[in-house]
Amino acid sequence: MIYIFWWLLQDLLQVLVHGWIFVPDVFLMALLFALPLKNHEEGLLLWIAFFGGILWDLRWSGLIGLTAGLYLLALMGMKGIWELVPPSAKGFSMVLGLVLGFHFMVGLLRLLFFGGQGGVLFVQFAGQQLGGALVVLLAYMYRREKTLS
Amino acid sequence: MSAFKVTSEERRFWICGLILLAVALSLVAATGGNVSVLAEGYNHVGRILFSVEYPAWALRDGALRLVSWTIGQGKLESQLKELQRENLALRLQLGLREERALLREGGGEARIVARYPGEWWRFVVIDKGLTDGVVRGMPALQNGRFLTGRVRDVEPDSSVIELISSSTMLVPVVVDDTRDIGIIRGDDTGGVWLLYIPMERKLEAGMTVSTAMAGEALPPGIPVGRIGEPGSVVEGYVSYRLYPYADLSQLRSVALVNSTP
Repeated sequence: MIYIFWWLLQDLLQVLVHGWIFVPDVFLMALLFALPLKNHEEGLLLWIAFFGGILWDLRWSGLIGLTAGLYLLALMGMKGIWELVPPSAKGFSMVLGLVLGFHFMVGLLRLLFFGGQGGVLFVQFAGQQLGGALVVLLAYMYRREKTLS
Repeated sequence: MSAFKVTSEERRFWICGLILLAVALSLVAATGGNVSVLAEGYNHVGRILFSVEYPAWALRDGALRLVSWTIGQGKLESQLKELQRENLALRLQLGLREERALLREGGGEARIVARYPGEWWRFVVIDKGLTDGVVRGMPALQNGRFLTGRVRDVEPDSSVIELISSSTMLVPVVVDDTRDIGIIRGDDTGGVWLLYIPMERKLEAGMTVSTAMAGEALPPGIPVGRIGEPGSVVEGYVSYRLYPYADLSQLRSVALVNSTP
């Protein structure tokens, strides 16, 4: 249920910022955070990513399957790398770094897929990544607050 | 080595992931961005989400309107100033036309009948006088538009016009662009000067000058000429050369403006 909220949040953000910057993929970030941290059955996250991506494509991108594919790739990449990380290094900071990294990769792949160049596109992409960084920062602060309390 | 052990749950994850990925890529390949294939689907999703997205759309529209209003406000202000200037200019011209209408009742265009070489840049004599309604102080215009001089002496059938190039002719004027007020005076040799402009006021060549409302019988807004190069500075006041619109060396007739109401 929480992922519906994140998807809708991303949708509302897209309404607000489209045309100016690319919207940060907060829905994807929520899934990426959940993968190592929550006790979900991981296959469920893949289905959520798939349907969320399809729905996003139907609403915004116009290329059915693209966002779903990118989200799935990001989740599978996250899973693969997380499995390779030694247990001693598996911490929240690592999760934050990986989430930010995959968010960047998905944004970049989408940008490459749709093509285009120029300063405006760069600004839109930079805006998206800054938004992603802000989400990561908020997650860090939330986690810290929770740990302290 | 335990890191490379794959549990059945993990195997399911990878198989599920690969299958879903294959489905997603197949969808990309199948539709290929052809919107018409799934047009109904797009519309359906759009309709369902519209009510959820409505507050965000309203917020976005509001923000855009606010930005556009703020930008538009600046434009409107400059347009208003421009219209005010235009309005002033039109009112002045309208006033001038009314004055000319009054003049036509009294006398109309007057021919120059004498111009003495010794007073070439100071006086001309016209063929209209008291009987035509000419009174002392009336402004004389070239082509019905440009200030040329004022009536100095009136006889029954003729009058003497003192030209703006005369050194005893003082006319209050205003610089149209800056609204600076000064006096114009001739130098008896064909030149006209704008006097009493404070030093700190920087007037530029080409600025236009017209008669000022100074409580006299001279109507305001009559075009006089353009500012030229600055001249001498006396006691903190600069004089500027003024190039009259009226061609004082080619005067054949003048129109007299009856400025009394």
